[in-house]
Amino acid sequence: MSRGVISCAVLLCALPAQGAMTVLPPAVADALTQIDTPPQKSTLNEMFATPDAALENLRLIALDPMVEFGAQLRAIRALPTYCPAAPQPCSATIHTTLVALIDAYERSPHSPLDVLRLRAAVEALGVTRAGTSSDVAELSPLLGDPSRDVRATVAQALRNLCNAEAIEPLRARLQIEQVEQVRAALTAALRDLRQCP
Amino acid sequence: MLRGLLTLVVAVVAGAGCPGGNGRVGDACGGNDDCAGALQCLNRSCVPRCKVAPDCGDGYACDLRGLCQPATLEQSELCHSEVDCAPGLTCQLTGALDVNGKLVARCNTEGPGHPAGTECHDDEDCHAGTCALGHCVNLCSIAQDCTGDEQCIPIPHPVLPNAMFNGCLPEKGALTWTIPMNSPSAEILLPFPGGARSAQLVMTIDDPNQKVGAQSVLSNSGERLYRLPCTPSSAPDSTCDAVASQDDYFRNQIRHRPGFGQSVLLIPSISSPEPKPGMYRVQVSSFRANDTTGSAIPQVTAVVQFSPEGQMSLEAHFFFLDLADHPCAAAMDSGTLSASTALSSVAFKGFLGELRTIFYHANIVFNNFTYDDIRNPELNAPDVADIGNLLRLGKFANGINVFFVRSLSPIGIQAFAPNPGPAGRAGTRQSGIVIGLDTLCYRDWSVLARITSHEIARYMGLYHNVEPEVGKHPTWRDQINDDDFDDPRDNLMFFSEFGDTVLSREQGAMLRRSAVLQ
Repeated sequence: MSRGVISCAVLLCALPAQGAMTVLPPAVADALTQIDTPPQKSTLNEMFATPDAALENLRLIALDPMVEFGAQLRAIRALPTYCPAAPQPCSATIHTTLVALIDAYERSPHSPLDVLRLRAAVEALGVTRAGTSSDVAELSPLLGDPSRDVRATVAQALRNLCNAEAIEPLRARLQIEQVEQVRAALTAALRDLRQCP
Repeated sequence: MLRGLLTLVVAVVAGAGCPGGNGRVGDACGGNDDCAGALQCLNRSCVPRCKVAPDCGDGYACDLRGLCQPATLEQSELCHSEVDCAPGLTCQLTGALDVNGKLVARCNTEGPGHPAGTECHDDEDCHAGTCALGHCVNLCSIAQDCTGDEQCIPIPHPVLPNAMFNGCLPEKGALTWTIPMNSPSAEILLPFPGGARSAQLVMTIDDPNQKVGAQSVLSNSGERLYRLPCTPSSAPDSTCDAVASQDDYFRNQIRHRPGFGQSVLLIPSISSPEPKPGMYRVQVSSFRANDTTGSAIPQVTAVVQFSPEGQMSLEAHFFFLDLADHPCAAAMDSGTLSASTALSSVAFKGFLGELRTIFYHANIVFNNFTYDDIRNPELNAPDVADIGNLLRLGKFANGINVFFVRSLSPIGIQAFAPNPGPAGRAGTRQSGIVIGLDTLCYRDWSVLARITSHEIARYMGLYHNVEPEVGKHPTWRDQINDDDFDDPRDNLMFFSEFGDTVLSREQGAMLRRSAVLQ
């Protein structure tokens, strides 16, 4: 995605790019770098005038590799706050954005930032509680990721998705998993998934 | 002739024990003049002059010259202080007021109860007949009537409205006691003695699915200082939405919200004016999710801090979850941060230096650091919604428990602190702050030091100086008048990680009220 497209699309929030980085207006940058509170939907809606504009801007910030990383991380994680209340499905816009971020990990050098960005997207996908087979298929291979933090986050996300199809890959991973933190996450997911349809 | 007269005068003076007597400790004496200047004659023996009445023993007062004066008041005589009454008697409040509206006290026989300073539930528990702030208290008139580490200060009477009496309470540190409740909602009395710096209520229930907290707070004069913010509802006839609820919260003089399982009410929420001494009336309740009264019975602990204004010291107790193979290990001297490696870690030492600097400007010095490892794999990357299971491991009542975890969920949250936290209370679901170390993948240790300081300050009773929505809602900010800041970002309490480390004078004064400090 080119800088010009982002600048236009983020009409309500982004200032013109300076050098290589996408510069966010100070109020937006502040809201997306809160220390101890996730960005609130009501705050974002007020900042971007309408919920649709807020979601679109969040989506663009989440996908923009040239946005300040801390803001990008919070934007990714804030996306599911725009899902309607269950049992209505989350919008395709949010879903495809998160899946695109997860897919991008495979092509990345798996740097610490790549790991963190992936975990934010995986956690957010779990919170959508879409529970589709495709989501289970998207996440299950990551149970074999070298990073224990990724594996634990994926187990937690599969637990939140609440689709019984995740039981088999979780059980398979539990057979070989050595790290206690991940084993605990796998066990908790398996326990809770038994209650899911 | 003249020489003979002089000799006679010297002989008379020496025999009478005139000023300049040189009796040493333990020497026999007939009066104070027989003893050296720093001594007095007590029970026919030279002893050091007193600083406080307890130096003299039961039945004596210590006057302003440092001399023990025998107590002379007998049974039923009016008294003002424990040291007024003869041995075997204590000065007890009668429950009556004199013509000037002051509490009347009379000498009475000592009861069988506990001595001053021990915990009590009512007056009968104390041999001097007065139980206040959960502890047996001696009445006093001046500071010399109390022990050396106590002060003589006005204490609100638990029954008579607006009535105060003078009693001996600690000069430094905090008093902690439990206030019994036997129903899900009840009014309790929180005494705020003259000279106290802050008072807090830690309210807890066993059911984590219900909330607990204050419904209202009234001052001694009946002024409403806090009212439970309205509950947002989407019902057509509701006048309360999320904004109205927040407006209510920020309108209160005392900041407070009930919380699931536990919450803290801290008085005051601002550094000035000084909170008025007196009895605060707090309606404490458990609540269901919709803020109707719950079924759980709250357990209430009160903590009153007495330390005088001045430099204070702070202990920090660091706990390390399993940080092996952390993705941000490059920032941890390329190793695994733990209780043993933190001591030698250059990066961690730098972090501690930055913490010291930030709080030094608030006249607070760190005087002790401790280091512990926690091996509980389920808590390596906790969700803030379930953070109580981790904070419960905060085993130190003094100072702040600081937990370093691999990561926090929701990802992007860098730290968490109860606001305010239960100062002086260990082992509760709010006993500490949590710092996620995945922040070190994209920020340096200086930023982490600011984040940690920000959360320590929140635990101690400071609030975000402004909220993100302050542009549209101007009242959504702290109540501290910081005219010295043009830009709210120039402050430690700015909500974003991109802020300064500065604390205003007023914020420093507020921090120094915290019972976390010594």
